[in-house]
Amino acid sequence: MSAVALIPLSVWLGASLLSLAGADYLTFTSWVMQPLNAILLVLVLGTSFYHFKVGVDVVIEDYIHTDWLKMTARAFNLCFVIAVSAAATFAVLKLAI
Amino acid sequence: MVAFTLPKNSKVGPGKTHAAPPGASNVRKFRVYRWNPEDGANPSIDTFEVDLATCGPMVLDALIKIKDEVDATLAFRRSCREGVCGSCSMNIDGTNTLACTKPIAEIAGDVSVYPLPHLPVIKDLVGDLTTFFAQYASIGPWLRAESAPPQRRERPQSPEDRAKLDGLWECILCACCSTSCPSYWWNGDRFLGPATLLQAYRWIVDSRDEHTGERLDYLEDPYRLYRCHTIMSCTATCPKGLNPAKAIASIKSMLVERRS
Amino acid sequence: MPRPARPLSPHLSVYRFQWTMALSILHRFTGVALGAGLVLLTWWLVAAATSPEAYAEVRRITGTYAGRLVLLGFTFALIYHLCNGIRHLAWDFGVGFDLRTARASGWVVFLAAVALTVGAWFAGYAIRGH
Repeated sequence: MSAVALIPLSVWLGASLLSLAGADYLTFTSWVMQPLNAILLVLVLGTSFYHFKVGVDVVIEDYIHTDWLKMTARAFNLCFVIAVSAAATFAVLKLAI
Repeated sequence: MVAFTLPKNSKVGPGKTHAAPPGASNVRKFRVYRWNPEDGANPSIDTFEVDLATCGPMVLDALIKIKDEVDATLAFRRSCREGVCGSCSMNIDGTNTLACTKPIAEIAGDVSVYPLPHLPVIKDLVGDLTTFFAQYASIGPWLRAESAPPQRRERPQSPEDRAKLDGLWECILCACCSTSCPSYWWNGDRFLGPATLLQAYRWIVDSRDEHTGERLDYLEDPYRLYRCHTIMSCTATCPKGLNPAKAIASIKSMLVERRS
Repeated sequence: MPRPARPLSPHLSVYRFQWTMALSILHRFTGVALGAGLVLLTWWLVAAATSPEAYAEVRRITGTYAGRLVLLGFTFALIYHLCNGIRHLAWDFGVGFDLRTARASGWVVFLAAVALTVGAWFAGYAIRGH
């Protein structure tokens, strides 16, 4: 269950973002470069995007009843999640490696 | 896309006002949803001024008084007038309940009375419950067992097993819960709704029933069962004080346990 | 004479808004909003991976009053969705279905989310100083 995993992960992410609020470029990038931070970031991004995908699919099923529209919406959701999560993960890896 | 607003033919317009008789001492306004299939007009809200000094204490008493004394064409279902038949379920003062057990004194200001929400209206306060009862029938709401019962005796049940049915058997199928559920509003054609699911659970936990597996199979479906998002409107509105949301959660956890 | 099509009885427009209902739709709303939050986070990370100038631009925009207001909104959305998610997990284990408990846990979640959001921003300002 992505929800259970997200309890500790999102607490960690929230606390980290809080400590990084308004941070300058060097502080931020050196934080991402820490291996533990980079690993956790990739984890939290993957889990969050997965959780978002599953959740929005339920919302789509609730409110959209026309079959082709429902399929299109779900496909858009999947593409959106893959594209944005790929960009985010790539950014973390580029900074960290 | 789900329509969050009413279709054109369902928009509610202003209606007639029936003033209280002269000499009335304790007047309360009842704002009642009207729709007449004969005249082809849109639904409207009629206002009836009722003298509570000469009226019984419940909302149903006022509706019967209106039908008797003011407008005999007002249509609503009612039968037992004591909360066991489930006929006079309607939306009163914003929540679904039984008109016969809802005291007028509990309502502040004008009393608004609508049919149960999100149903096709047959006339006035009478909603079409065909789908609702078809869904109820679909779960096989009777004891199903292959084994022979003991000779000349009913199937025995321990007091503990019998206690599992408490909070379930009391359901009178008034449809208050199902028609209070936003998920049922948007997906009532495929989601079974709280009343039917509570009844399904009533047979699933019955120790004498031998079709638990098939019953669970039927419910394991993204729409029939899993449109329940624990909004809790069903439990909040049940005029019998039952907890359909909890029954649905019990079905869900049985399905999870079955897999592990 | 053919019968006119039956009208649909009023639903959202007449149903009294319940506390548990409000929190339920807020859970859904914050969940979808957090998708936009993920885009924002991605934008931040990509900018940092691109160049110091791109990062500085993100920092400038999110530092404006409007930017901070949006971030405040996302903070609340995250904390509320997290807290109410725990409430949902308890329900998944069959706990807290009693109507009074469900209403009370809703208040706990909502007030905790407000308090934690305010607390987090105080802490953030205390650390940063501006």
